[in-house]
Amino acid sequence: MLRITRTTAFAAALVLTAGIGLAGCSSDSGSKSKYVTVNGSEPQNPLVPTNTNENGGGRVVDRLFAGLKYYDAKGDPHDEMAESIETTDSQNYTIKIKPDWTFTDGTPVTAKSFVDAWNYGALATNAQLQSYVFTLIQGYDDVSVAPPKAQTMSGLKVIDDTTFTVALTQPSIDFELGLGYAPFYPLPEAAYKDMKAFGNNPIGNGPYKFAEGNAWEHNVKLDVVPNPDYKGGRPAKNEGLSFVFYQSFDTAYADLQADNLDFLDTIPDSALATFKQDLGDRAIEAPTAQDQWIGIPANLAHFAGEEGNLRKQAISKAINREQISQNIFHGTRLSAKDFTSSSLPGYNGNLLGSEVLTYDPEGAKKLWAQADAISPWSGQFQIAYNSDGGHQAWIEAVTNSIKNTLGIEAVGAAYPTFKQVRDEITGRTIGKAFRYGWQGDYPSMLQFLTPNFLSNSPTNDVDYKSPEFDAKLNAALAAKTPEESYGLTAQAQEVLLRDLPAIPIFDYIASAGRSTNVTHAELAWNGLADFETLTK
Amino acid sequence: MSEPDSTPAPRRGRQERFVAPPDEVKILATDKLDESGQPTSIWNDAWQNLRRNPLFIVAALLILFVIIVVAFPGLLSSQDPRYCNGDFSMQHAGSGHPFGFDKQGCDIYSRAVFGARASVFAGVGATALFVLIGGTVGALAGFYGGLLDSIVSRITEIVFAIPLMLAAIVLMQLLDSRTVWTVIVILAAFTWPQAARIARGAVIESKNSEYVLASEALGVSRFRTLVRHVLPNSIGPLIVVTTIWLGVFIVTEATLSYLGVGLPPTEVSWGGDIARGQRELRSGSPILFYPATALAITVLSFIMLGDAVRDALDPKARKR
Amino acid sequence: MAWYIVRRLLQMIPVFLGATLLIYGMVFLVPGDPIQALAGSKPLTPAVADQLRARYNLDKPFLVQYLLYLKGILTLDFGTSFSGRPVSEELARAFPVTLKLAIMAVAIESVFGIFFGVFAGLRKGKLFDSTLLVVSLIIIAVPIFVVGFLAQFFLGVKWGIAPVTVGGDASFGRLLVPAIVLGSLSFAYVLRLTRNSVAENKDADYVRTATAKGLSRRRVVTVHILRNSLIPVVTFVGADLGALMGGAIVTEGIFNINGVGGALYQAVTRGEPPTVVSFVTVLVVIFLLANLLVDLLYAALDPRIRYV
Repeated sequence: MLRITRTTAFAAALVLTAGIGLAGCSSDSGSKSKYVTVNGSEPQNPLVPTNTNENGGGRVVDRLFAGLKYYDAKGDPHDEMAESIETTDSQNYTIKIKPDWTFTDGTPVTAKSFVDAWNYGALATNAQLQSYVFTLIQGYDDVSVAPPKAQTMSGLKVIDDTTFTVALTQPSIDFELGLGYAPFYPLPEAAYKDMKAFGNNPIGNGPYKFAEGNAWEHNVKLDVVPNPDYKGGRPAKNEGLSFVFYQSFDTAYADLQADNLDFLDTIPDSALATFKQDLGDRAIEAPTAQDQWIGIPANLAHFAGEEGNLRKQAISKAINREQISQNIFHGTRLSAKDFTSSSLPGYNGNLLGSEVLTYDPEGAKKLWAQADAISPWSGQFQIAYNSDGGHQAWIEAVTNSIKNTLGIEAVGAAYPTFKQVRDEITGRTIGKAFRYGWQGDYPSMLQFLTPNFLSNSPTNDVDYKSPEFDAKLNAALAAKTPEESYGLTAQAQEVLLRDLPAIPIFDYIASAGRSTNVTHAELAWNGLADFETLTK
Repeated sequence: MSEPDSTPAPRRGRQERFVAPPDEVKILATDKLDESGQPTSIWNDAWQNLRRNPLFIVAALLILFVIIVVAFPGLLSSQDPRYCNGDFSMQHAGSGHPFGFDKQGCDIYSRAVFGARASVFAGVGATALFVLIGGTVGALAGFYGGLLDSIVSRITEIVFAIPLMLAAIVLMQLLDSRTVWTVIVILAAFTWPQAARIARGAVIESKNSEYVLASEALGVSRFRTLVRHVLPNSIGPLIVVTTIWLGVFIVTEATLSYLGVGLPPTEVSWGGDIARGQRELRSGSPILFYPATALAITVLSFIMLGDAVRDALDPKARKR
Repeated sequence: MAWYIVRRLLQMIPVFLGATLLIYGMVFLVPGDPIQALAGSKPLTPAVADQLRARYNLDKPFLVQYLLYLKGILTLDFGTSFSGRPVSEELARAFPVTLKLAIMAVAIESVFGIFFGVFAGLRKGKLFDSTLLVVSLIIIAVPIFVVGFLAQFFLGVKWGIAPVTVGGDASFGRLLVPAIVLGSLSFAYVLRLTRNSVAENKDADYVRTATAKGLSRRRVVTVHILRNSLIPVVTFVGADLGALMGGAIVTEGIFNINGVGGALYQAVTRGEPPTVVSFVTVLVVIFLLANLLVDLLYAALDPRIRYV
């Protein structure tokens, strides 16, 4: 038997104190970085282009790799590695790439670098999150099943070092435009030996490369420096970028105000009222290709057929988008005028039938009454949303607007996480209207419409089935010129405005800010910084 | 403390160690004195004491007021707290709307009044459950020791080791519908070990005191000793903790709302409104002030009440 | 006492199993397919989804998943997170930071809480005591996300006297404000606990005896009153270390600290049982060790308590 003495207690206290003392020893890094510091978030996966589908990793991948095309700040596509992309039918393409490009390990970028990378991305056993982007390429069906029936897609053929051909299963004018999207980047030979290791220290051909030393400090930051061998149209104009990872935009904003962060691409909601005052001419705004919609499942009670159509229109007209944008977002949202975004090429804000998206309380009441004549309304109108995404305020404002205009019980149904609400949407068990949105992967209106409303699209969350719309959209995809495509897209959208499978609410204006250290900062079409042109 | 000895030391042995030398007969004398008088319960004494304590009277009045607001919010506000109109967004105070409107155009005053119900209910409910489970389990474990204590200790450790916020975030996702009840159960289910530990520690402390040993020496049954002597003497720390936890629970509900896993946003509560108000702080809006003040007053009155009750129950403090 | 400690360590085994099973089960039951969520609202090829499910054992029944996980733990393999990195790497990165933060918070709350608590207790009912009551009340009544925000906004952004965020540099100086914020609620708690304990003990017989013996007031307070009043306080503070480590979710979020709270929150919302459980496992171990320390401190404070 041993008695614990007071000495033991003091010893314990001493250990605690020592721990704290040690804690104080680490040094304070005071020196200001010569890199431009920009906000980011820890990439969710190793940086492999075909496996990066979130913008924490995406913003880094786009710096490290160069594709056939790139998009400038306005969203206009330019050839990057492509010498020429030729097609006569929007279905069979011959792609020539520029010679003499190299990866940062010195190996040349060839036609094979592209073809192999795409085949890697599409093969089911490689389990790449972005594999679906290759859906249109011939032979995708054989590689995308487990076990795969083929190792490579039959639609891809290497002709010589700088030429390869692509055959699609159906015409798509969007294919060429999408070639600047990350999954279409080439990979060096070295990648296939150990893709995980490659993803942690990628070898690319883009305007930047990993900085020397500990470039990627997990959960903290990732540094990239200009790649001197880059030969494309978007060379780095700064000495490097440091992506600083934040858990919330609120925190990042505090750092921006204190000049610890050079560029923040999203002003948090809590600062929207004051950021222009806080930052003065350092506040930056630009429209961006992002939408918020309220989806109405095709099988929702009271929302089918003629009755449903009237009710959807009534609800759309009952939402005072202007006022909600002012009250909740201080004008940083645009009232939606269509199903795409005003920042996209070919956008038309005056489509036939777009007045259904304008606030009209009298009209809304009338339409609702007409619907009631078909079958009287009962119950609540619920809008499901995830409370981890900052949607609560505007959903509440929308339900208040509906409630006050139509005199019905309209409420938001909060789901704790995106995962949960998503699960019920894809499982078709949600049983209520739901918030969803779309952010463009590349600047194209078709990229907003095809995945969400085409009958056979796996992500047609509202189960919209309209042969008329499908025909018009497919015609737009098969168009010969962008202009022709824009006209047909407009016709397809007019069908959507009539049927309202989802109710468009907002189109985003990205609001950003720069620190006093930065001399030039611009927002790109996708709401992120135009990273290459940031200067300090 | 009684980390259970594999063979519990015989009580006789312990008495030999701690009981005053036999020539001092004072304890017996004191007890005798008690026994000869009219048997008054300690609770009765406490009530006599409380009635004369101004602290208690003020606290009780405040709590009465809160209870009235909770039960009949319509007496104080005729406005529907759920009626929010964007036209009034951020408007300043006007007639009938003494605190003005929030971002959504809801009347802040009526929300502060009607918000009492959910918040107080969640706080009181969680506290009651917390004390009931924790106090009972802790007191029994501390007093009887042995295997019971060992098992209880393991269970409390399991529950305790899981952080409340984490458990709440996970469980709130698990539950289909979130109501005040789910918030109450989750708050209490993952905090009761706090009460158990305090109760156990206090019971062990007073179990070793002279009056308990004396009571046992007089042949009073163990359970009776626990109820008559140990509990009243160890309840002080538990009451203090309880009144603080009441406040903590109300505030935790706000934090859960902030993390998106509290009461459903359609429910009017102080917690939810504090979480909303926080987002407006940067623009210097005082919306946060109203629900926060209402909450602070409520918490204050309960803590004052706790203090008064503790004093009343503590025979040592009562001597003065 | 060595035997006592060994026994305590053995007792950790059932607690460890119970806690991991409980949390694994809870995370497992959370609705929503974590693999589908990885794709966001974009499509996910079914074959790819199946591959990923198999990779993270998500296609197996609950008990198999749990046992596979336990088997891994026994060989110190904590599994891989959805990011493809070993969970052990994340543990090694997050825990030192949060441990430092929590120890600082506990040190701050106990030093200040006990100090002020003793004075308030000795002057019970006086102005000093009432003022502290109000102060502690305000601290209790204001949620931590408000306190954290205000501290960051005023100390960091407006007046520039403290670092705004912590980020990758978790040094003492940078963690000071977050530690104060994190410890503030417990400070109020320790303060109340100490104050009441002291107020109760200061009239106890042994204190009168000590005073009667002619001991200096200082000695009476520090040796006799304080030592006896600290038992409930020590219980609380010991348990608080564990609670603060897991409960720092809000504080870590506000000050951008790459610690346990943020990692846990993310893993929970993404639905990664192995990551969540690994973090909780370490939390459980820390919590149990802190408890052991508390019990040993008990003995030091109260000579009547002995361990055999």
